[in-house]
Parts: sequence; C-alpha cells; structure tokens
Amino acid sequence: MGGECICVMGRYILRRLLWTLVVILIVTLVTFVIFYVLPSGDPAVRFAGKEPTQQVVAQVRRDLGLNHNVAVQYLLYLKRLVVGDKYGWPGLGFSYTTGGAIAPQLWQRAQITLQLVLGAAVIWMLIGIPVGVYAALKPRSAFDRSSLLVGLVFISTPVFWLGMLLLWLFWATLGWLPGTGYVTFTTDPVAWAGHMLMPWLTLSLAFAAIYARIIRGKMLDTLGEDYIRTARAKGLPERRVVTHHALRASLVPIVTLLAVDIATLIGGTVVVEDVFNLQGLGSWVLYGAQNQDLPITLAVTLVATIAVSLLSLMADVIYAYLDPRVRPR
Amino acid sequence: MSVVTRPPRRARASVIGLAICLGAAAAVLAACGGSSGSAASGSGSRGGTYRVEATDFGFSNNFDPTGEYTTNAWGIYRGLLIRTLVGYKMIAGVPGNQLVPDLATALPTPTGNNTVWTFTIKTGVRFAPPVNRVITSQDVAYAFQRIATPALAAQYGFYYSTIAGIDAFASGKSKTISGITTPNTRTIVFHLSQPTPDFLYRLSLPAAGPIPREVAKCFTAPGGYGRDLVSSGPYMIQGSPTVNVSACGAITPMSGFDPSSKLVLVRNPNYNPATDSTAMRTALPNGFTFTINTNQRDIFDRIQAGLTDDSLNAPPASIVAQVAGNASQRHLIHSGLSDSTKYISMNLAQAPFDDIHVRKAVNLIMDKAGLQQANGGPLFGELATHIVPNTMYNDASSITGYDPYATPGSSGSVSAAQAEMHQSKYDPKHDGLCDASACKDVFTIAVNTSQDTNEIPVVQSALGRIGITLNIRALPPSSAGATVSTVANNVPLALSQGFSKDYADPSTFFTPLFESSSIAPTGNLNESLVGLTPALAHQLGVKIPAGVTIPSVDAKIAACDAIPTGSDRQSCWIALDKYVMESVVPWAPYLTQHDIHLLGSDVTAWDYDQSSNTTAYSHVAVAANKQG
Amino acid sequence: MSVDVSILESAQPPALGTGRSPAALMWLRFRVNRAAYVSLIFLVVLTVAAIAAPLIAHLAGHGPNDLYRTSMLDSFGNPKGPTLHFWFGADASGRDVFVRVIYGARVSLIVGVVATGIAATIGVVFGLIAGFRGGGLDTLLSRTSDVVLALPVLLFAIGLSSACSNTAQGCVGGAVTPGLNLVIVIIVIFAWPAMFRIVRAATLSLRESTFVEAGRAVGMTGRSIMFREVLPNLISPVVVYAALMIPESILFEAYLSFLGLGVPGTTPSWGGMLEQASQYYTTAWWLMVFPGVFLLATILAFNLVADGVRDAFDPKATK
Repeated sequence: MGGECICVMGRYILRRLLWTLVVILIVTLVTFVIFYVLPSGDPAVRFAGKEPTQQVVAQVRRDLGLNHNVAVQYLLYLKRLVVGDKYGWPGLGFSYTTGGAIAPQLWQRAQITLQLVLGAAVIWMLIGIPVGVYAALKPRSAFDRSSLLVGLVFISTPVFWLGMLLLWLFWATLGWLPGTGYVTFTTDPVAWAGHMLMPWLTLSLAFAAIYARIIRGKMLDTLGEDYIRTARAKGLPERRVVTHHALRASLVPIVTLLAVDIATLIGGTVVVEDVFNLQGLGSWVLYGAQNQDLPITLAVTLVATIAVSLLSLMADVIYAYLDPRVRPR
Repeated sequence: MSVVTRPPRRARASVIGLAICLGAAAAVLAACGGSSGSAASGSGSRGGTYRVEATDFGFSNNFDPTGEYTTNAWGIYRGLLIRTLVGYKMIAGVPGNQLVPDLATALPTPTGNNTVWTFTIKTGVRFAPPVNRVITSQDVAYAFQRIATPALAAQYGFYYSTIAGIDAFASGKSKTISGITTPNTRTIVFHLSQPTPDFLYRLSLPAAGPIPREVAKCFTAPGGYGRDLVSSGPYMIQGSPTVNVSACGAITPMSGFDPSSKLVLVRNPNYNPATDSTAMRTALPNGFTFTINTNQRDIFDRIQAGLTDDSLNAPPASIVAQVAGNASQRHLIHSGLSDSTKYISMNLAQAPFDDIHVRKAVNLIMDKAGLQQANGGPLFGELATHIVPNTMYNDASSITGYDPYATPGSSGSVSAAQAEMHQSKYDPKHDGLCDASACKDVFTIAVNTSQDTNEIPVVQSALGRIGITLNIRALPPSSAGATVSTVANNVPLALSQGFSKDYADPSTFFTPLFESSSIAPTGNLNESLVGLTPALAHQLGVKIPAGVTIPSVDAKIAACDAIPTGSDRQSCWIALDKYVMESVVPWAPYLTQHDIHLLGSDVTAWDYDQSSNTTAYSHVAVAANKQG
Repeated sequence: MSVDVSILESAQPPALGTGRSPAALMWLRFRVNRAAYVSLIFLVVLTVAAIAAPLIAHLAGHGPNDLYRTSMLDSFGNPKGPTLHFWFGADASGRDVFVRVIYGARVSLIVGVVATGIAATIGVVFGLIAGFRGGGLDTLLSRTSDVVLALPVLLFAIGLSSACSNTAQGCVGGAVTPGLNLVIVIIVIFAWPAMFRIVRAATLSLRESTFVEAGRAVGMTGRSIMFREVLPNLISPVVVYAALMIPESILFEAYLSFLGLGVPGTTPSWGGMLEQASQYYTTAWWLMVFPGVFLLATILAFNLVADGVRDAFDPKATK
C-alpha cells in the first residue's frame, strides 16, 4: 500500500463523499417538491383550528415557516440543517402535528430501528452462512435442493403477511410470545427480546435465503481454486480448509453486501414497523407522509439517504482493501 | 370539535341507563343492565390511581389550553385541571350539557341586550403550586389576552370575536382588551360589541379559564405553556411544585408531562373542596395517569386483566363483541352518546348533487343500518336522522323520532328513492336511475381508517341502486379532511364526515357548517357550500352549474342566533334543523356515535362527561385497596 | 424490500437436445425444470381464472362487491368464517372472500406484466442509448438512475399517491389518475434503473466486440448497429431479468395496497384484502390466510418460472 495508492484512495473517497452530498441535496429537494408542490392540504390551516381567521392562518404559516416561497423554504431548511436551529444542531425543526422537536425523537426512534435491523442481520447471518456453506459442501444434495426451495419461498413471502401470520400463530393463538409493541431493554430484557423476536424473524428470513445462496455460490467458486486444492493436497483437515480458507474468502463480498443491506433497511422497515407497531423510523416516516408533517418526512429521508450513501462508500472502501483487484485507479 | 379527522371521539354515558340501552340489541341491553350497578356515580371511595392508556394523545396544541382543541384534553381540563367561570356538572345526558357556575359565584343575567356580562369570582380559589396565590379576575382577563395574541394561535378564537376591543388588542393597536374590565380582584365584566346570547357557553371552553401571567408570559410560541400548565382544579401535573418560576429562564417542563409518553396528575394541595361542589367534582382518586401505549390491542388486554382502567381509544368492535358475549365481563362495557353526527356530505355546486331531488334520493336509498353495522353495530352508535344530535336540545321532544327519509329497517328504499330520482333532471330516461354522465364515476373522498373503510362498500352498493357510480379515493383522515375542505378541489361527495359540538348550543353546528360567511378557500367547514353566491363562487374558482341557485340559510341562522338562550331559541333551531333536512338537504346523516369505554375491574364509579364527550374524570373512583 | 433473486440457481441439470431449433431447445430445457414447469401451469390456470372471474363469481352466486351483511356479519359488524357457500368466508363488509381472491388475481397479474413491460422497455432503450452513445447522455442517465436508486421508495410512493389523489383529474395534467394507473407509474419509476444498468453494462462490452466493429466497417449507421447487432445479443439477459422483475412488481403492488396506497378498496386486490386483514387477523384468520396464500403462490411461481427461463437461456449458469 504505497503513498500513491493511499492518495488515489483518498481522492476516490473524496469524490464519493461529494457525490453523496449531491445525492442528499437532490433527494431532499425531490422530497420537498413532492410534499410541497403537490401537497394535499395546507398544514397551516390544520394547525389553525376550526374557522381560522386569515390572521391566524397567516400567523401559523409564519410559525411553521410556510410564508416563504418553496425555493426560499428549501434554502432555509438547508441553512438550518447546517447551522442548527433553536433545538440545536442539526436543525431539523419541529413536527407540524405535535409541535415537538424532531431531533430527539429521531434519535429515539433510530435506536429502535437499529435494534430491529441489527438483530435481524445477526439472525440472517446465523442462518444464511451455515446453510450456504453446508449446501456448497454437498452440492445437488437433498439439503442443497430443499434449502433452495425453502429459500425461494422466504424470498417470495411478503413480509407484512409473514408478520401477521407469526402474530396470529404465536401471539393470538398459542400465546407463546408477546404481541406487537416495544419494551426497552433496560426496562425488561426478557420482554424486550420477546417483543423483538418476531420482527427480527420476519425481516430476516428473506435475507437469510439470499445470503445462503450467495455464500453457496462463492464457496463453490473458491473451493475450485488452486490454493484450496493445494491446502487439501497438503493434507490439512477438511474443516480447517473450509473455515480458514474457503469461508474466509467467501465472506469478503458478504461484508460489503451486509453494509448496504443494513443501510437500506434503516429507512426501509416501514412495513415491519407498521405490522409490529414498533415506533421506529419507518413507522414515523409513514406517519409524516400521511399527515403532511414534512419535517418528519425530511428528517427520516435525510437519515436514510446518508446511511445508504455512507455505508455503501464504507463497504466499497473495505472491499477495495480486502480485494486489491477492484481498487480504484 | 373539528371535522372528523378522527371520528368524534367518545360520547355520553351509559351507565345510568340512557338512550343507548333502549335502541340496542339484546346483548347490549344486557350490557347496559350490568353496567348501571357497578358505575353509579358517587358509589366509589377515596384513593387509588385512575389509569388511562392511549395509543397517542393527539393534542392539537401541546396541551396549552389557549389553543388546545381536542376532546381528550377538554375532558381532562374540565374535570381535573381548569375551572372556568361557568362549567358543567360533567355527567351524562342532557343535564350534563347544562351550564352551572364554577369559578364564578353564580350564572349572571346579561344586561344591555345580551352585551354586558358581569361575574363575581368565588373567594378562596387558589392556583396550584408553584404559583399558590388566589385566583383573581385579572387571571381570567389574561387568558383572553392570550387568546387574542396571534402568535399563540388560539384555535377557536373566533368564539370571542364579539368582545369589544379584542381586534384592536390582536392587531397591537391597544395594550388591553377594552371590552374586559376588572373593577376589583373578584369582579370581571365583559362588554360585547354585539348581542351574543350564547356567550356563557363560550366562557365554558377551557381557553377561557384563569392563567397566571407570571408563568404564561414566558411562553410566546403556540403550545409552550402546555408543559407548565398551572392548575386551578383539584389535581395538578406531577412535579409542579419543583418548577422554579422566579424567572422565565429558570422554568423547566413539569416532570409529570411528556407529550410522547405520559401525563401524570396528582392532588393539588391548594384545592379547596368548599369552593367546588361534589355534583361537579367528587375527586376521589389520589391521582391520574395517562400513558401512551402504542399497541391498541395490548391496551384492551391490559384493561381486561385489570392492569389499567380506561382508554382514550375506543375498543375495536371485535373486542367489544367478545366482552359483550361474556356474562361475567359484560358489566365492563360503558358508553355515552357523543354530541356528534356522522354524515355523507354532498356538494351543492357539483353535478349531480346540485339537484335537490338527487340529494333526497341519496338520503332515501342510503343503507343507514348497513353503515351502523360497519361502525360496529347498535352498541357503537344510533341512527342519526337530522343535523344536530338530540342531546344538544334541552327539550328534544319535538324532534325525537323525526326522520324525513324513513325507510323500512333504515336500509334504504329503492322505490322511494327512484320516485324521487324520477323528478330529477339527471334522469332523462325517467327510469328512476341517475342516467346522466354526471352520475357516473362521481369523484368521492373517503377515509381509510378501518371503520370508515368499511363504510365505502355500503355507500357504493346503495348509490348503485339509483344509478350513481363512484370513483373513490380513500385517504388518511388528515389528507381526506384537507382535500375536502379545499374548495377549489370541487369534491362532489365526501363519505365518513363527522362533526361534534364545542358546546351544547346548536349554533356550533349551523354557523360553521351552513353559513355562507364560513365558506373559506381552505379549511372550509361548509363543505356543501350552502349559501354560495355566484360572486363568491367566481372568487373561489367554483363553477355553479347553469340554472342552479344554491339555497341559503344565512337569514334563518341569524334569526335563531339572536334569540336569548331558552326554549324559544331551541324551537328556532329545531325548525331550522328540519328546514335544512327537507329544503336544503346538504347531507345524508346516518350515525350518532356512542363513546364506548371498556373499563378495568378496579373501577368502582364511572360517569360520562357530556360536555366534553369523554370519561367524567371528576366522577370516577377506583378500588383504593388494590391500587394504593 | 427489493430482493435480487438472480442469484437463485436451479439444481436441475439442463437437458440438451440435438438438431432442434433454439426455441425448441429452450422449451426442452425449461420443461426439464419440474418446479418451473409446474409453476407455469399454475400461472396459466390463475390467468384463466382471473379472466373468467365474472363467470366464477356467477357460479359462486356472489359478485365481488355484493354485501351479505345480514348473513355473513354479526351484529357488531364482525365477519363470519368459511361456510359451504362462502368457501373462504366473508370480509368485514360481508363480501365473499373467495370471489374477491379470484378477482384480486387480475390486479396482481396486470401489475406484474404491464409495469414490468413498461419498466423493462424504458430500461432497455435508455440502457442501449447510454451504453452505445456514451458521453453526456450516458452520464445524465446513469446519474439519474443512481439518484432513483437512492430514493426511499415507499416514501415517494406515499407522497405521489397522496399528491395525485386529491382531485378527480389526478396529477401531471391528468396523465396519472389514482388507482391501478398510479401504482403502475410508481413501480415503473423505481424499477427501470436496474434493467438500465444491466443493459448499459452489456452494451458497453458489446460495443467493443468484433462484430460491431465489422458493422461499422461496412458502413452501418449507429442506429441499425444498435438494433440489428447489439439488441439481439441482449435478449438473453433482458428476458432473464424481466422475468425476475415480474414477481418484484407484484410484491411491490401488494406493499402499496397494504399501506392503503394502491388500488381503491372497491377493486379487489390481494394487498388491499390483507390490509383489511391486518385489522382482524386475531379474530378472522381467513381474511389473512387466503389472499396471502394466493399472493405467495403467485410470486413463488413467477420466481420459479424466472429460474427456469434463466436455465433455458443459459444452461451454463447452472452448477
């Protein structure tokens, strides 16, 4: 890793960061346009109560910052984002419907979403990797084929339906697990896990299937490579060949894929949060969009976009270090 | 209070065997019978905590009484935290809608043709900590200064627009409101710029309650004071005493209120029961907790397990059906009749509803029983046949049973509807069906909450029988409300609309809903555009179909509104109610919802607050031995 | 959730015929994949049932929007379960769930085919142009696809759907009206970039290949090279990927309808029925089970068929 190389990498990262910034600008702008230029109602009127006088509406509009034209509002939004507002930095404003500050709620809800996504990621890795490895070691075996079919069923299952099915079975019918909702870990670790188990499973099954397939494919590729044959020829135990050589090589692409998937899910667990009544980012953005509460919508969009951009950049960088062939030039 | 963004929440009490028990199915009768024993008010004992859970508070102004405009908050204010000059007994039924003095010593008789109202404030009523001092006339006057301060966005300031000088104060031309004088600390006089016979009702709204200037002056944005509301009632927000009000900068939110999780109320040590009456407030529990639990099903599981006592949410029909079917649990269902009407709104300026025959045919064909069932059946509401709910008329005898569009089983009548349609210009073939192209794919706004969604197929199927087909958009409540109330959207038909009273004078229905002056480009409540003139239509971008004159009831509303409160005024409103139903026909009304409460087994006394359409918090009691 | 299903591989070895046309060969290879073959039969039956839905409704005796509220709802408005006449029970309005499930197939199939068709066409055309022409146009299209892929999909679906729902005219000057129409537009907006990327990459590599150079040498215009030389070579990846887009589109429609953003409730759709089921699943399991099983079976069948199609086109892909 020479100095030149680091310099190339640095420039690459810089370029990607700039692009991330551009994407954030575009995404927030598009959000603004969609929810402002084509709104289905004036939030100020809703806030102003029954039979609002024009005076009251004008006042509310000022309070909400809706008295400027859209372009100015957008620039003001960006400005507050950068320099902060009365609720601190970054300036995400306050909810139109509750009047409460966005930022603290955003962090509180992001925690729930993160617990959901990370927990699910652990589960899908724990299922996906062993299944994929085993299938690769016994290609075309009954196990391989049935894991393929079961995986395809998981991939084809709508998560909201899977969620309802699990709730109906394990909560409403059998009573084995607590139902929808969320309990903080510190309040009651057992209840926390009980409440999270079904959402985790719901979210992770399709991913487990996909990851198993990917691992299987990569393993088959690596197991055919020369150094594995060499290792085998040297008489290394099969277990050691598989775990130390083949699996390690196969996991490289998985790490980057994982980063991107987790990032995508940070803003993309709308349906699971809806079904399981988890008050995370997904259910919040749904609420914001349905109630013309633009600050909520924008805040979650922003977080989701940043997460996707940064984590995929991170994934690419890690990948480049792990696999010199794809290093940018 | 507002157009049904959420269906008007809960309504009046069951328990003591009100109307609900008469019209309901057998299972319901049993439920009613069971409930009266356990919840007769006054039977409970002191102590315990009354625990309420809700999926959200839904406050419109962060619990700041100046702007807060939600049923749930009003119920809590009236029963527990805010004593207005005049109030209510907070009981079920028509008596619960009648005014009684609260902070004032007596109900005054107005002078000067209903323009001068003088009140004397009771002695010995004090604010809760941290303010602690005696409540004076200036504290009431200050509440009106807040209402008139545009920056605080009082959401129902229009009720006080007849107070002399309030506009001058609002625009900053005057430092005080000239129409409110406080000759001494116990006397307050309101001078009105025009006769306002229902002014006492307006003073019963929570925004008109006393507010200590030394605390509230620190909050200059809407909703801020909600976190440090100083009580004048029997309870206060937990943590009130520890708030430092010596300087604005030192004030921190009271620890018992977090809008996203809980509202905890404890006894106000400064409350003197001698200044109050047990007819209004028994104040038996030692405290109240209102907790957010986003899992609605879990709330009702907890209530059934006795882990909590009540909910701000209505229980789903499936749970009520289950409880009502269980003899040992039936007594836990309680309900009241909300002062609200649910209706289908027709736009008088849009074809085919510009034709009164079509509007009447819609009323005649509507399967009201089906809509009632879609809302959970008779236990969840009784059929509405006219504009204003009967409980809002002191003497409803002359309108009880009035149904100008009665059909067998209230399921709609094809023959009657088609006979009516026959007379319409939209039935050129004279086959009793709406044949014109205007009757096909009529743009319709519906609401996509679970109950309101269930109404859609019922309406669609009914209107199909007179040849009207619908192009339905089911939107979330707030979007639906915003869409329908934007006049330029020209929505011909709106389903699942609802309106509930602010106070028990029928003017709170007729004025915003049918007066031409209330037509506004956005936030319009007169969705039917009753009284729309060609000039106003042009201004709003509405095209009235050629040859159509939209009826107006402005003069009739003004005439009724000028009559002093009493039986003459009531009769005038009842006549207007019938006139609107028969000669204007802007709606197809179908339901007055019941406010159903599933109660926990610890509850030993419960009543329904008719004035707020919530649980009568001031009359509940819980088994203290279990709860401590 | 967008799921890249292309990594799914069949464990079936391909059958290789000799002396047959390429199409016949492909059909042979497809048929040998038994799961794909059975799935295809299922989809054909489903399509026939969807087309014949009015007939089936007639035989069942209940239209999709006929209300049986006295017989199939209790006094609280709760639906009743399967009976001899209502095989799948009734929904919360007292409508026949069986008939509605059959009608619901129409929405899923139309969305799957139409939205995929439009999105694939846009992706192919843009991909060809971008890959072949390069330059500023390529940059513009590529960046646009990057941005679209970065957008939070559901959020924009919600925004578009509420923005286009408040007047009878819809939005974009009446071009997009709410309902099926809008759902297809939303799916197309988010589905084309993936196809675009595949086609662009393939075109880029083909551009440098010898036969394209040969075409240039004999004086063919850019356009005819694009359509006569490049496009035929893209058929395999395009068909294989388009086959995978169909189940994704169906799934997406179900998500939108589940969130109340899809087709109006008066048009039976599986996602919409499941939305209603979400209010009742603890007491009325039939509302959840039947539409859900059909939805799952249809998506699974399309995925298996796509699998078979890939094997048929590219036998080497199988390991």
